[in-house]
Amino acid sequence: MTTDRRHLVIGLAGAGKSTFIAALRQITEAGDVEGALRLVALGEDDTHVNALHGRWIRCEQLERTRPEQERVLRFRLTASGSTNGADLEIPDLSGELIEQQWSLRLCAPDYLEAARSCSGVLLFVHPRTIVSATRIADANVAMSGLGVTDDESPSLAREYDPRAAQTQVKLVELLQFLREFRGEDVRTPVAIAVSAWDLAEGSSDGGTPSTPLTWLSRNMPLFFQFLSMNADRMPWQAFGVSAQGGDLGTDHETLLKMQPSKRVRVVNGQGETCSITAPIVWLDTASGVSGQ
Amino acid sequence: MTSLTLSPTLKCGQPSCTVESTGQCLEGLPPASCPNRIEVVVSSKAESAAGTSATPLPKQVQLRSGRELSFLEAGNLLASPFVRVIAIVGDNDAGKTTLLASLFDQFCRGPYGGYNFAGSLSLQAFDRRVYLGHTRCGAANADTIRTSHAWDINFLHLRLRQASLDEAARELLISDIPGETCKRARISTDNCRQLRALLRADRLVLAIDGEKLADHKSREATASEAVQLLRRLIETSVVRHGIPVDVLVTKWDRIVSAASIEDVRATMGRVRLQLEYSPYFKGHALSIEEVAARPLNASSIPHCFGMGSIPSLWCESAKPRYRSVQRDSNSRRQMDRFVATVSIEEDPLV
Repeated sequence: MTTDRRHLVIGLAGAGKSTFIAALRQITEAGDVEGALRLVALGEDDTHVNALHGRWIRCEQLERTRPEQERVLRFRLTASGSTNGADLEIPDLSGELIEQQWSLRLCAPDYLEAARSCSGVLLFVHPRTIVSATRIADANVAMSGLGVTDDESPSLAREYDPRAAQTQVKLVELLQFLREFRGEDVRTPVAIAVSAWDLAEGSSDGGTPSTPLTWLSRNMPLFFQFLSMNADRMPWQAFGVSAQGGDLGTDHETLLKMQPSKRVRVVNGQGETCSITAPIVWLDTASGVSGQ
Repeated sequence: MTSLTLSPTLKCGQPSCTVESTGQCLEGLPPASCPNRIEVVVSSKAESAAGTSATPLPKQVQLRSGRELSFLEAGNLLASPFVRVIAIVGDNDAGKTTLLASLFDQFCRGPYGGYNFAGSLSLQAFDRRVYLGHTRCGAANADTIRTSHAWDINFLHLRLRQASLDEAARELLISDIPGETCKRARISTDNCRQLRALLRADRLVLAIDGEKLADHKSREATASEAVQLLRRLIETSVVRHGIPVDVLVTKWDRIVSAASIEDVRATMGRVRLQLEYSPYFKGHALSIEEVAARPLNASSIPHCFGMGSIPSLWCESAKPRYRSVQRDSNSRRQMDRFVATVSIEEDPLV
């Protein structure tokens, strides 16, 4: 018996979507992580996913998905010990095309269709690429506190460019569009994956180590409020995903020597270790799909 | 020669709407004004000179702009029982736009005034308003964009909700009326009537420039002009009788810096007395607040000083509205006769 599920994997450019897909392939194919879903069979055309996985396993930097590289990836996954499999469809969408929904107010019809037909959404956020909103007044106070005088800042502001908007504002709009495409009353589970979690985790919260939930509430408060206030129609859960295992520049040799599956570390919203397939299992459950 | 042709087609974001095939909006609105509409623009190259067959480019779906909503675009929301329309008026540089920008900026940093951000259909409009106060604009000092003069009233949309989730989200439609427009409305009844869209307002917020109040040379004139604007709006019936009026003395940090607190409070005390004893103001509840949305760098006053009650004031009365019902037990319509027999809660705002 199979039950199909289709989860949309989205995020702004450089959010870590492709790295996640490559690591997901590794874990589900190797089958060496307890509790993780497993790959039942290879796909009919694995060109794209093999290319991603090949670079990942050689610890090479993955290129961003370009619009012309977009395609739907299919994994037939099953729970350990089960003979049932379910197809997981992941449209691998370029971050640039997703970004243009905010900046150009344009959307690819393929995305619209994928958004309408998906059972859940896996949304990626990368701690190193978020644009936050520092007030000029706060920055000036901080600088004067450090005894720094800024005589070089231009007195004229640059013209407004929507591409430079706060990341959290863009992500709110992205989810608002998604809900509009699907209909206001259609339940849409959203798993938020904070990429490069090993980087984000280090930032403590009053002495307490961050969890994905506390990280989101502290670094993306507008987005966090939006998620919390719309949880009745958009149930959500946060995960921290370290899909690469370290810095490919400084840790390259160390990473190459590691058992590939050991490079991947995932935690749930409360900071408890789980497998990389946990966000998918959560989406399956929240969307009512019997995926295993 | 290559030309680009664009052919728009209407689609709707609501799956059950058949506007694409029938032209009939699910909400009964003119299709062009429905906020759920999605315009599909098909781009195609036409090789007109050579007469070769057209090579279609990928279609792109045009999404809503995220900018201010026109009155027509706000129409769908206006039908919601949880909507509240807030009209913010005041002369040039009174701080209306800064007030809105700072309010949104505060939500960007966390829940505020007991409410949480739950969404907005004018996110890009808000982002533009906060832009000049953020380091990302590259300037050394914060500023606010000017709202250009126009008689057409546009709205910023903000959806707020209390953390308990017990109650539905409140839909705030906030009009940011340019100072120049307010100035013209103040001096002429005809001009003021151009703002008749404000008749839908549930609350009137009058911003008075605290920097001008701080200076004794301009203090009394500034207060007098503000009262004139308020009186004109009420006497022209541009705003509904009895709606609450909040007078916000903005830029309070400048008043503190100028050591003019007592003088300004005395002036505003006289304004209160003048309004409360004026027949035209009878029935309106009045509050006078001291606020500093974005204090100057050297000020010890925090951001959004005095603004903590704004979310609850603007949201609190957003209870379901009911239309007035004509009770007629002799009507030929069965529904009218039925209605005449039952007790119906009246909306205190109507």
